[in-house]
Amino acid sequence: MSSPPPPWPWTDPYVADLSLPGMVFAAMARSTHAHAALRSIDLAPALATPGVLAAVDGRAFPLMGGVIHSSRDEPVLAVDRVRYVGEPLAAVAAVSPEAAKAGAASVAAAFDPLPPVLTMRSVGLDVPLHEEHPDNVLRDVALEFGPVDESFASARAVFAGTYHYGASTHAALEPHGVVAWWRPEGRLWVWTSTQCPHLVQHGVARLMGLEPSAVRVITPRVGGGFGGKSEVFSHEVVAARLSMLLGRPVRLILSREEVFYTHRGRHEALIDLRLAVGAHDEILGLDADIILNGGAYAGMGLVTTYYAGQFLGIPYRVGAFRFRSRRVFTNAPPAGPKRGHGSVQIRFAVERLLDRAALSLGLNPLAWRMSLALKSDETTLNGLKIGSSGFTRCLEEIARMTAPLQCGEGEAIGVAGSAYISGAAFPIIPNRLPHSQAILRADRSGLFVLTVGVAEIGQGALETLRTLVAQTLGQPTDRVLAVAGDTDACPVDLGSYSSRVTLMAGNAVIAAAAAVRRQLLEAAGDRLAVAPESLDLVPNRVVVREDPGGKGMSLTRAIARAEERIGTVIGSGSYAPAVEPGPYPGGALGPSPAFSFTAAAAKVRFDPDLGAVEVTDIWIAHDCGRAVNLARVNAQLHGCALMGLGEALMEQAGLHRGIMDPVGMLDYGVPTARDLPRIHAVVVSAADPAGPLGAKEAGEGPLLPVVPAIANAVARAAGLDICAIPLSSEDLVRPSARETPLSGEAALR
Amino acid sequence: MANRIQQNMVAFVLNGRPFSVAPDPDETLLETLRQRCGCADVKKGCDEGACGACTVAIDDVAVPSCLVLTVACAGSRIVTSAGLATDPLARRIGAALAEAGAVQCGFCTAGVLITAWSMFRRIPSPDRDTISRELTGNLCRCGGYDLMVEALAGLG
Ligand code: FES
Ligand code: FES
Repeated sequence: MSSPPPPWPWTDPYVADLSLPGMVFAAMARSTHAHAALRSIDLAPALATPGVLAAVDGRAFPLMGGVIHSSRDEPVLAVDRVRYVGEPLAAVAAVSPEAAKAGAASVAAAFDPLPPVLTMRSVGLDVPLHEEHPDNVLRDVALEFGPVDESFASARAVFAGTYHYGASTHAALEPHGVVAWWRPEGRLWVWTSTQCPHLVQHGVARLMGLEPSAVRVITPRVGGGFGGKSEVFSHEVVAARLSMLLGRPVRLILSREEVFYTHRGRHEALIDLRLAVGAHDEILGLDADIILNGGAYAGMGLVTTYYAGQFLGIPYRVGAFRFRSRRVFTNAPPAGPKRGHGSVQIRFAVERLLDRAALSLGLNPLAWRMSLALKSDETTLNGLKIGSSGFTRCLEEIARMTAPLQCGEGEAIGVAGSAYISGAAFPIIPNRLPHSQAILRADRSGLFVLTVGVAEIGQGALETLRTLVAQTLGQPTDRVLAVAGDTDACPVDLGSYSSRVTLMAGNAVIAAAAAVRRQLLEAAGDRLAVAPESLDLVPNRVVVREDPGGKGMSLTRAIARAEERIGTVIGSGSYAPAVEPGPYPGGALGPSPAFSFTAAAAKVRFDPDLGAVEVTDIWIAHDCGRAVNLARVNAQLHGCALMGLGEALMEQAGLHRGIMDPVGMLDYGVPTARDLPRIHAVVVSAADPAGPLGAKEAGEGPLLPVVPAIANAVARAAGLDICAIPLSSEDLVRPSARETPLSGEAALR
Repeated sequence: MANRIQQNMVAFVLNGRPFSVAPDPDETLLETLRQRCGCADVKKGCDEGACGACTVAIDDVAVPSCLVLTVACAGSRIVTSAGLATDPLARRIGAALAEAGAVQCGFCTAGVLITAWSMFRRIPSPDRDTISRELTGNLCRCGGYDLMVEALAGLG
C-alpha cells in the first residue's frame, strides 16, 4: 500500500462547518452583571425580532448542571441569580446568525445588583455566591502524611515563600460550538466540539430530561481543547432544547468573546509554602496552604482542590507533608481543568522554593533534584504507586544538553522537574465499569477498523491508537482505520482528559488487537496444519516464525479463512485500572496507573532597565514510557513548551473591575512564531509495565516544569526572588522590587 | 431596483472562478466566503485579525479575511487553501507540514498554508528568521511553530 496523501486542511469539517437541511442558528444572551439577583427576564422582544423563531430562558431547564454529583450548582441558563459577566441568560434561534444575534441582544432582563466578590483574598468575608457555601469555599481539604511538625523542628534549614499564580485560559484556536438536531424519531443528535463525547451524552440527556439512549453525540474534527472542552456546556444544552422546540437542526457557535466567558481555565492560586531540608539535603517536609480562585461555579473544582495538594511532592521523595487546599467562589467565569490540571500552580511554588533553598545552601539545583528523585516502584506517602520513573534520566538529559553552554551578561539558566498522572485511576462518577473500550474488526479487504469512544482533539490520539493496533498485528499503521467520537457507533470511553487516552484506551485497543490476532493465527494454523503459536503476522502476510520464507498465506486469505471458521473477525478489549485508592478521605484523587516524569530547563536574557525577559531556549526531557508515536510525542512537547512560555510571560485571564479581561485573542496574547525560543525536546523512553506496549502520557506533564524553569532562570538572571506568574516587567524593573541580589548566585553548574 | 442590485454586486475571482456576491456594506470577506461562497476551509478563530485562521491570499498577498470588507474586494483575485488543492507548491507545503507533525488540531493549518504559499512566491529560499516573521500572524495554539519553521525551511 502506498502511503496516504497528506491530510489536506479542509477535508474534515469542524462543527462550525456543518450544515444540515433546514438548519437554523442560535445565539445567547449573557449577563452584564458580575453579581445580581435576576428579577425578571422577558423574551417577548426577542421573539418579536425579525427572523427569530424561538427563545428560551432558565425556566426551560429545571435541573442544575455540573460534572461532579456532589457539586451540581450551575444552571444551564441563569434562573434567579447571575454570578459573572458573560453568564448565559437566554438563547434565541433564528433563520440567520445575524437575526439570532439581534434577538439575543433584545432579551430584556432586570437585575438587582449584589456586591460582587472580585478577589479570593477576602475569603470568608464576602456575600456568599451560593447559599450552601456561606463562606464562599467550595471545599476545604486538609491532609497530612507523616510527622510534619517534627520534620520542621528537626530541619537543618527551613524556607518559606508566598506564591501567586495568575489565571490563564486555553484559547484553543477553534471556538466551542454545537449543532443539535432533535430528530423526528425522537432522538437527539449532537455534533459538538468536545473532549468527552460520552460525558456530553449523559450530561445533555440529564439536563434535557431524556434517557442517555436518546442522545447521540458526535465529535467532528476538534480544533484543540487543552481541558477547555471537557465539561457539558450551556450552549450544548440550549441548542438541543431549541432544536426540540423547532424540530429543526440548530447551530450555535460561540464568538471568541464568549469562549473567554466560558473559560474553565487555570485557577488563580495563592500558595503559602514551607520547606524543611534535612542534614543530608533531603526534603524532610513540605507544608502548603493553597487558595484557588474557582470563579462562580464548581465545575471540576473538587478535583483541582485535591490535585493541588496531592501532587505537592512528586517527582521528589519527601519525608512528610501536609496541605490545606481551599477553592473559593468569586464572581468570575468558572475556572477548571487546563493542561496539567491542578498541579501547574503548585509546581511553580515548590520548584521556586527549591531553587531558593539550593542557592542558599550552596547546592547545585540540578544535581540536588537528582538526589531527591523518586525512583521506579516507589510509593509516595499519600499512596501514589509510581511504577516506572525515568526522572533521573530526564535530569541527566537536561544536564547533558545544557552542560556546554555559557551564560553571558544578564543571562541565566533555570531548571525544574515534575511528574504527572497517566489518567486518573478513578472516574469522576464513582463506578467499577471500564474506563475505555475498543472494538476491532478485520475487514476482508485487509483493513482493520478500530472503533473507540475517545475524542481526537489534535493530540494525535487516533494515530497513536492505530499505531498500537498496527504494532500488535505486525502491520503498517495505514492498514488500521479508526472510527471515533460517536456515541452511537463507539463503546464508552471517558474522554480525552487527564492524560488518560494513550494508557487507558491504548490498553483497550491492544486487548482488542490481540484477540483479532489470535483468531487470524488460529484460522491460518488450521489451514496450514501448523500450531498457531508457531505463526507470526508480518506486513500483509501470515508466516511461520522460524521459517518466514516458507509456507504461509496472505493476510487477506487469513482473514477470509477466519471468517469461514468463525464468522465476523472481531475483537474487543476494555480497560479499568487495577489501582487501589489511598486509605483516607480523598484517597481516590491522585492515584494513576502510571506517572510520567519531566525535567526542563530554560535560558533567559534579562534586561534590568526594561525589566524585559527573553527566553532564548527551552529544553524538555520527558519520560513517556515507551514512545508509541515519536512525532506526536514531540509535537506535544513543543506545544507544552509554548503554552508554558505563554503562562510564564504573557497570558493572564482575570477580572478587571468585575469583568473577564481580556476577552479577545489580540489582547490576551498567546505566543506567536516570533516569541519562539529554540526548543530542544528529548524523549526518555523506557517501558512502563502498566502502559500499552509500555507507554505513558505525553500531553500534559511536559508543561509542568516549563513555567518554573523560566521563573528560576529569571530569578537567577535578575537576582530577584520570583514569586508571581505571569512575570511582569513592571515588577521586574521597579527598583523597590529589586531586593538585595541573592547571594551564592552560582551558575547552573 | 435592478440598478440598485447591480450597484451592490461585488465581483471577484475566487479560486480561479469568477464569482459575484451582493454583500452587506459591513460584511467581512470571511463571512462572505464562509456563508455565501461555501468556503468552509476558511476558519474563524477570533474575528478580530488576531489569529490568522481566516487567512486568504488577495492578489497573492496573505491577509486575514476577517479584516477585509467584501465591498473592497471588487476585481480581486482571492485564493483560499481549497483553491490550492492541486497547486504543486501548496501540496509540497502541506506534505512537509504534515510530515513534521505540525498539523495537530489543524484549525490553523489552512491559514498557515496560505501564508507559507504566499511567502514562497515572494521569497523562494527563506531562512528561519524570515519564516517565523512571516508566520507571526498565524497563531497555532497547539504550539507547532518550531515544527512548521523547520518543515518550511527544508523546502526553501
Ligand atoms: S478569524 Fe481572522 S484573524 Fe482570527
Ligand atoms: S494545529 Fe492546532 S492551532 Fe495549529
